[in-house]
Amino acid sequence: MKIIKSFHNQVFVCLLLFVMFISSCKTIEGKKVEKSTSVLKDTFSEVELLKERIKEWEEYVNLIGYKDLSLDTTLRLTEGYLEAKDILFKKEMEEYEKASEGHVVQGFNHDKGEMRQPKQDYSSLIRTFRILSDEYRYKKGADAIHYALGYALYEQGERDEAIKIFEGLVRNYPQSIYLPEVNFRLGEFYFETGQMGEARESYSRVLNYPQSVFYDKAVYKLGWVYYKIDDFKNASDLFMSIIDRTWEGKSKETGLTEESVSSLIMSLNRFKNMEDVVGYLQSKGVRGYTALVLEQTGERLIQETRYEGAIHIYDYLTKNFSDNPNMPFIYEKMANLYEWGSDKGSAVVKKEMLVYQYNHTAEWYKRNYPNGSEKIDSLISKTIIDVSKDYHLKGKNETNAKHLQKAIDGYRNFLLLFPKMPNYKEINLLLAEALFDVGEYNEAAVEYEKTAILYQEALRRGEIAYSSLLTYAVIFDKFKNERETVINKAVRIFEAYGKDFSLSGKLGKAHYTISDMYAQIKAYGKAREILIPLTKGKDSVNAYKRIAELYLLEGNLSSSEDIYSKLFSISKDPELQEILVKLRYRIGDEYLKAGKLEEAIKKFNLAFTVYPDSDIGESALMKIGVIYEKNKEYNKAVEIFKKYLSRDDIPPDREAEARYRLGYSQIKLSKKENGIETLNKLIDWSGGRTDNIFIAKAELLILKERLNIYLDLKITQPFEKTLNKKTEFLNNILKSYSNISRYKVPELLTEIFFSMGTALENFRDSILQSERPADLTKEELEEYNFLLEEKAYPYDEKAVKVYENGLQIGREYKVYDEWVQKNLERLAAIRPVLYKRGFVLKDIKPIFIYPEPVMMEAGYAEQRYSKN
Amino acid sequence: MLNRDTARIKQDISKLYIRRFCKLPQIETKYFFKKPVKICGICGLTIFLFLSGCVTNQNKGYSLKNKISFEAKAKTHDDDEKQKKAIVLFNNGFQLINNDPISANALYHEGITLMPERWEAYYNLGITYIKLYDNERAIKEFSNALKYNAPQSKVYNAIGITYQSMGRNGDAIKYFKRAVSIEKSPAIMMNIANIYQDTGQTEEAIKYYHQIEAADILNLPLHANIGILKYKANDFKSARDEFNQALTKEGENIQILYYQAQTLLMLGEYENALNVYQKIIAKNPAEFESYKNMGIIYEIYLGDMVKAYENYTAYIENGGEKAKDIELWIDVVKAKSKKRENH
Repeated sequence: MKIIKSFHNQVFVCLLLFVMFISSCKTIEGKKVEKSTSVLKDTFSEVELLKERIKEWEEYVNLIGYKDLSLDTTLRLTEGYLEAKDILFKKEMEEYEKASEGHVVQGFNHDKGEMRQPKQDYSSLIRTFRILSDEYRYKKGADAIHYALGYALYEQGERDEAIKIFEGLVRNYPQSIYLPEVNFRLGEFYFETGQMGEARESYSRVLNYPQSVFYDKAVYKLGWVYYKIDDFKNASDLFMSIIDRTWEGKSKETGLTEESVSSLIMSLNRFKNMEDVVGYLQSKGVRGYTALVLEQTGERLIQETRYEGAIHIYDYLTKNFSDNPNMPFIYEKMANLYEWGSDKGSAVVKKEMLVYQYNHTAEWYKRNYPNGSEKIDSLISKTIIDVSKDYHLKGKNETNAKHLQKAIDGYRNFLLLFPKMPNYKEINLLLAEALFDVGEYNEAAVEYEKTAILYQEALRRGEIAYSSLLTYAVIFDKFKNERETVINKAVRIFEAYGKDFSLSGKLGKAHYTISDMYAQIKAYGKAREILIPLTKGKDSVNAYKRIAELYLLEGNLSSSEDIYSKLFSISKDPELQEILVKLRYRIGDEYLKAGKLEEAIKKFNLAFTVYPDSDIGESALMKIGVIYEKNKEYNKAVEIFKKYLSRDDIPPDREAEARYRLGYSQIKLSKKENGIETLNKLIDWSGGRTDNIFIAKAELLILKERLNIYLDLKITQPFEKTLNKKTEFLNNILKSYSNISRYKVPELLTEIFFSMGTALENFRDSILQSERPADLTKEELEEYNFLLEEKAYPYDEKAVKVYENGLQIGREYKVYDEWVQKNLERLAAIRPVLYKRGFVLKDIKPIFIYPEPVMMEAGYAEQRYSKN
Repeated sequence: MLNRDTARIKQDISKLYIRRFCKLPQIETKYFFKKPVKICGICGLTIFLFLSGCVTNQNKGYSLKNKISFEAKAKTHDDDEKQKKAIVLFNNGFQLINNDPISANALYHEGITLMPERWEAYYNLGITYIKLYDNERAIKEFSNALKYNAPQSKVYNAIGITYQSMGRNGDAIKYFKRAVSIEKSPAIMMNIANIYQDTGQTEEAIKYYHQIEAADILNLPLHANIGILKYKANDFKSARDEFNQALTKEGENIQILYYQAQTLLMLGEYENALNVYQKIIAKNPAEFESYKNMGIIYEIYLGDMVKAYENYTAYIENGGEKAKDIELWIDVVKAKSKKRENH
């Protein structure tokens, strides 16, 4: 402790004062000493003189018992003696230290006793003064002898005896001038030995001497006594009393005031709680140092990790000393404390208050720092950024617009307050990012560009400008009404920062971004045009690919095909090959839709030949076959389907289709036997599957051939015989058609019912048109015809029912195909009243644009269009 | 679009006009009709001016033109006043041109006598003649407009449309192409495409339609016309898709809805067709043909006799022309309905 060290110094000073006091007594011996000293200074060395003094004192005190010594002379010589001893001791110490330094270098060993450390020796004085103190107890100045003896004993380490001497001095010499010091020394002794009651009494006695140099020290030490006995309030009172007496507007760097402030803070920290501290300070009233004490109390509490207490203290401080020049830092500390306590919300509130109340536009700032403060500015700017970033991160993670808005406000505030800060552009960039995150895309794009301008480095500028461009691309996607304006803005960015994009490696992407935007508004020409420069660089293949895709989007398949074809011929990239094949397939489909069968076949053929083993190649081959089939080029169709079926690993459904189509084409080629054989093979191959339409169709086709044979069968004479034959055929046919219904294919049911109806109608007609017996009279013939009609009519009824079933199936399955129409047509023919209906169909004509009249006043005519 | 098939309306348009306006304060005239006819003041004046203009041209009787000219000199009206009056007449004509082309025609004629140098007057007069099916006169007036520095592309387009109305497709294309060579107007390109479509030159038509598509003009019936082209080519699926787009992008109108419904009938999409017919009915409840088609769909394809009955009845109630046939169908529907009940 500083105070203990300083105490020794004080003692030494006292001793000197004592010496001076003693020397002020005018004696003969004194004059002699003074005279001899002054002479000797000139003629002898200083050491010799000092030794002479010691010798002189020793000689004088050796007279005890032989002579009644003068107390004044004794004290005066003792003064010289002590002074000489002290000087010589110092010299010895210096020599010792010098010698030890040198010997350390040469390996000198202190422990071997080659050179001993000097030690002050007061034994002569103690021995002498013990006698004197006893003999001269009642003489004037005896208190000085007691004091000197006590002092020497204390210094010699014989403290108990020294304390007894001091206690005796206090008891026996109440008027002694040494009492303040002696009491203080006693206090110190008791304090050090833990005798706090005695220490308090000793220190308290010093307080009777307010003019004494020991007064403040005693008050201070008394404070510590109270501190030791846990009476922190009294301790604080005493420390405050010293501060009150010594405070000069600010705490001194060293000294009792600072020690007292420190001790006061320690005492306050030991209060039961911080509410009591605040209450105590309030009861004391505001002092010049109150804010300082509070601030340092807070710091001490932080060191002791008593964060809640620190917050309480700082809270009181901020509320009652808002004008304090350190206030921003208090807020910073409070924010940190809240963060350490995981109360991030309160931390942010404090930071926001800090920014709001203490930035350079605030009255507080102007009052406290009229010339500005870099430290405060730095704190404020750092805090704004911290808070804003925190809001930004939270807002982004939680997609919380309110937080993002706060981040935006913060970044804006920073840009407004600190336009010259070196991190201005970084914050501007963060502002742009936050605006983007909150969905304020237009503003974000503008801020990105503003930031880009701030950057000197072309590379970074390019990257940021590209963010602006991408933001416009987002606006373009999200807000379809503003597309034209947005694309113009994007193009402006693209043109303004082209070089920077190039340096930052974003140029290609920028080209594609703009191109995509044009493509979305169907400005395919512009979309391609913007990609042209890329076709001359490293990315030329991709650029061409995109151009080809744009042609595709536009519907210009042939231009697209040209590009892909060229690209493939150069790169032989399998991916391109696949695209090319798919494209050709698609073009083939387009031709097919447009009825351009030859062109379609060419494209499908190209697709097949370029990539024969792919799925698309296989599909292309099938398409070619189907086209030939539909175009009634059955021989070619047969060839293609055979080629198709010669392939390996054909999916079963596709194989069933190919087999059916082959059989169908063969029948159409008048190779009925081959056709029927192919179809029968398909049915056998299917293994009884009932889930494939082509197997059902094959069975239906075979049955159709039988139906044709049945339809051609006429009823002739003998009537009964041929009738029975046809009846049997009819029943078989109807049974076979019924069997096909096991295939659960609604599309075929309507055809089946139609075919059954056709068979029944044919039976009716065959009866009615049957060959008449040759030998009938007119009357008999009429009766015969009547009988035939009676026989035929039930088949007419049956046909109607079957057709109605076909219609009903259409209704149930919502299948309104050609077979439903055919069923309906037959019904309309047989039962016109019930079924013959005609839709009102209007003549469809193109809609021309007729000229609109023009207004006269306008001076010019604005073209308007009307659809007449 | 005026219905050019209803020639009766064309002939009787004057009578209808008079009938409509006679609800206004009437004056009696004996100058221009054999029998005194009660007509409203505005009608009377308009017809009077119109006819008197014609008489002047034939140098017969009282000449309005001379009269006005005379009065003008007599009253020393200056040119400004004439022009002011002409402008008023032209503007009144402009207001009437779509709904009352006869009156508009008369007003333009009168205006031109006062202010003969304005191409707009001739141009609008030509339009009135198109609306009155007097195509020859229309072409003449459009040609007059050209003499007074009318925008050529506009006039050529108007002449093209007139020729198209006359069935002279070759001449129409010639004028449309002239117009397009001056101004690449999507509307004129559409007219060219439509003529190609009408004359079966499908590829040429498609080429022009694609050009219009690239121009991205929203208020033109592009998808509607492509739909019509697809319908005529029996590509009903494409037609359906185009009509869908037309109805979404170009606005719903009864004509396109009818085409859409018709396309759906061709595709056998009867329920969708029903929905479209219901839209038509919502727009025009008196559209009796839609009731008939809906009745057939319900009766034949959906087997819903109650709804069929309702629609056939609605057809008759809304003045369907073949009421007797439909009455028979109603009986059939009732019988089918009873038969089902018995089952």
